[in-house]
Amino acid sequence: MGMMRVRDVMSDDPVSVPPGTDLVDAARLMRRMGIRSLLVREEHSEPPRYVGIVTGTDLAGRVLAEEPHAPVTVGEIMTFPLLTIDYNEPLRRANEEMVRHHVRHLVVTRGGAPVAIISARDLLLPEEEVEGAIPFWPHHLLKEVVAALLVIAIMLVFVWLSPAPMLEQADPFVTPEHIKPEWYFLAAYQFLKFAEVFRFLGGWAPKMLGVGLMGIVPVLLVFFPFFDPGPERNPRKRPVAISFGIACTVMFIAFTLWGHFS
Amino acid sequence: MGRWFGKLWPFKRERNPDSGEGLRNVLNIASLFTGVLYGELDERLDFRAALSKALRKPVPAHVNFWFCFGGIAFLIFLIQVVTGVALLLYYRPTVDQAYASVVHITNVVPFGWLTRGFHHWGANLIMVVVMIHALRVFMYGAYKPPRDFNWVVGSLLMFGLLIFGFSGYLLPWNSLSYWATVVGAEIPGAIPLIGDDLVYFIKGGDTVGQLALTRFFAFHVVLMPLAMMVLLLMHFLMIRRLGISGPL
Ligand code: HEM
Repeated sequence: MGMMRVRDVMSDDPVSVPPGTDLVDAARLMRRMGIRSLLVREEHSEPPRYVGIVTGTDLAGRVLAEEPHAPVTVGEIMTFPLLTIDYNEPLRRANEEMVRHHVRHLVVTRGGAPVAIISARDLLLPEEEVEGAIPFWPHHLLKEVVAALLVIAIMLVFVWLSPAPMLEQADPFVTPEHIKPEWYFLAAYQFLKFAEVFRFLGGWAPKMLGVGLMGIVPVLLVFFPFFDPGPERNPRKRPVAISFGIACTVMFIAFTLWGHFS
Repeated sequence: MGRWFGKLWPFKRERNPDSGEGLRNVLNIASLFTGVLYGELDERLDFRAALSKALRKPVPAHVNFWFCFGGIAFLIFLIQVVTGVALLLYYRPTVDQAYASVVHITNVVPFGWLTRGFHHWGANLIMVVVMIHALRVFMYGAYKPPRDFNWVVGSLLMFGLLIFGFSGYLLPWNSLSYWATVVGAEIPGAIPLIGDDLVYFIKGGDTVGQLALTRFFAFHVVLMPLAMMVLLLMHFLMIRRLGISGPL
């Protein structure tokens, strides 16, 4: 799965010109399209039948270097016959072919029909390329779609087994017995109740200290990277930060459970 | 049959003469839907070429199971948007009618129970998923520079979700949601100086009544979605620009 194939880096829709094309026009076309090679197609062939290829290197080596008796049309300098490779081949094979034939471009075929070009430049692996990487499209996206369907399936099962609750209408004059917030607020809620232990400091203390200590949490969360900016990322080499993180997580879970069962 | 259909189907393409033409023409119908990337529409509009750099961006090998929780959070966020808009078609944000409209959605509106169920579970699951996501980022040290600002944006997203949860909870106007709001809205009152004003701002008055409901409704369906979209855009642009954090 991890292997990159020709189809993952090839350039689709190759640009082609007839053999009679003037070399200056060909060079301008390449510049305008931002490409480094042109396929040469048989005159009036539809769909195009490719017979050769002209590259920027050819323009330098077979045209400029030949002045003043330089050729003038694409047909005179093109390389032929074309070397091809199937779009399903691994990139390594494309590389081998180019090295073996001393060329920098191959025509990519699919079911025998030419569909794209792959150049030595395409083989210079893209940014972040590392051994075993997979292209986003379609390999990674396929995984994402499978994951998304799984998530939706799980939600469906939850909805089916436990539908959204239907309680009685709110009545401002009847206070229910157990008022508890949603579970993700439970830890905060329980901590505020826990802050009653500060009552020995005075009547103001539980609320002020509870909310005050709780106010540290968002600040710590938002600005955490600025408290711990060192470049080390490996968890084994960040014992302080990791212990702190685990302690916070355990506290959060403990207070949530406490809030739930009290 | 395939031949017959091939004759009827107006879009014909003969790139690859040796594969079954009829079947391919049938599959081409799908390109009207998937055509942005493949097939007939792409042939005309060339999206694939335009997107090719993005589409070919390789996903590094160290990206494992734990890296998918941010994406799952985003998926659930989208589900919340879709189901939320659907609920909005029937929900009535007044003290007199809110509860009745939710009952109506649940019991009468076709698939109302399903829509509400998804919105309910989505709200809870996104919290779990985002917490796992933040823990993953923490454990991998992915919050370190240059991704420190994205951690800040991420934590703002987390607070955004909490405000989403708090404001949405009141909307059905049932006993629990009402009283949890009455209690919860008082908590910021302990903050020195601005506490009382903050409580007043949240409730829109001295008690939790119609103004509070209107206010929570506005936050839940307009202000927070907009704020979240801006934050999500920043979050994703930064990921795109910086790339995912490298192997450990
Ligand atoms: C609605 C909530 C959120 C959504 C939809 C979301 C989405 C994502 C996605 C899709 C990624 C790509 C990598 C991955 O999935 O692991 C990501 C990366 C990241 N997220 Fe989030 N996120 C959310 C909340 C958060 C929170 C709460 C934090 C931290 C407090 C955070 C911090 C980060 C950071 C620092 C990265 C870069 C990680 C890396 O490069 O390895 N995000 N986020």
